[in-house]
Amino acid sequence: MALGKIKADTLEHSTVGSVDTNHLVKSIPKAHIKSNVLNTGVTSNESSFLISSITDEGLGIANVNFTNAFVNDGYTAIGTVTGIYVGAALGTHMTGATSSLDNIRIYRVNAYLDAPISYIAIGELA
Amino acid sequence: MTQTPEFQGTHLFDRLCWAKENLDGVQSDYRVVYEDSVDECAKILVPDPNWMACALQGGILPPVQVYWELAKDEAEEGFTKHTRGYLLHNTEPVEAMTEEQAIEYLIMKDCPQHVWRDWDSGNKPKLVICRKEQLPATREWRNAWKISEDLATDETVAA
Repeated sequence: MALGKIKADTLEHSTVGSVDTNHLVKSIPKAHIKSNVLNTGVTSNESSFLISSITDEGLGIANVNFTNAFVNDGYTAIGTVTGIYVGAALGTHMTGATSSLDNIRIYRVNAYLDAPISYIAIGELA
Repeated sequence: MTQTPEFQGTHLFDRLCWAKENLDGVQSDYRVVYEDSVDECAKILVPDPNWMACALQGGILPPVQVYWELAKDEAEEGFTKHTRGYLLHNTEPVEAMTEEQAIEYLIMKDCPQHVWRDWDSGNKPKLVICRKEQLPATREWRNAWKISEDLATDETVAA
């Protein structure tokens, strides 16, 4: 692939220290998605990367399927509902999550909830 | 049409970066409705626009069998991390697909194998490809949706 490359194992600042670039490569967000698949009557992904599909599994439940698997299921994932849904939370790594898919759930108080989501996953890829 | 670089041996992540910069997303109207348990509601697979663009372009995605190999590794007892990720990057990428072929590929990648390998063995299909207009217009009673027992190609497939 014809891309310019800077190859360096370490970045060093004149006063504050240095960092190994392998940490940077591993810790940048790898997958992200902004989707309203779980929003009422609408089914599409508005923005995404490294995602092959999203599976609507029912009220407030979805699988995010990755195009490139992570090395294992220990990746960090963070998500939130998009818009005003006071008290709503989004859980990641729920039932059946693997290196190649994350099961996410949106809930408020004791009930699942449909809402648009934003989600990112960070970790080392396979 | 944009020419895909020779990508065999390039990390899949880098290929997807190239695709994101060079290809427009394609929002498919196809949806895959499937049931993987009689106790659960129907599930709906929605293709990602960027992934679909890669599938239609060709030369970017690995063969679907690569994903099966990785899933097999992960199912092994004592699995800690993937050691055959190179399969994603070094296997010759698949050529351009039609939208219909891409949906079939996606089913074999993202639906449980027991569903698509055995999709038509029961009293009614466990998996249906439809257009999004054939899904219910609202998400009312979402957890009660099942594949319709009287399927017709011009009707709603889940209710």
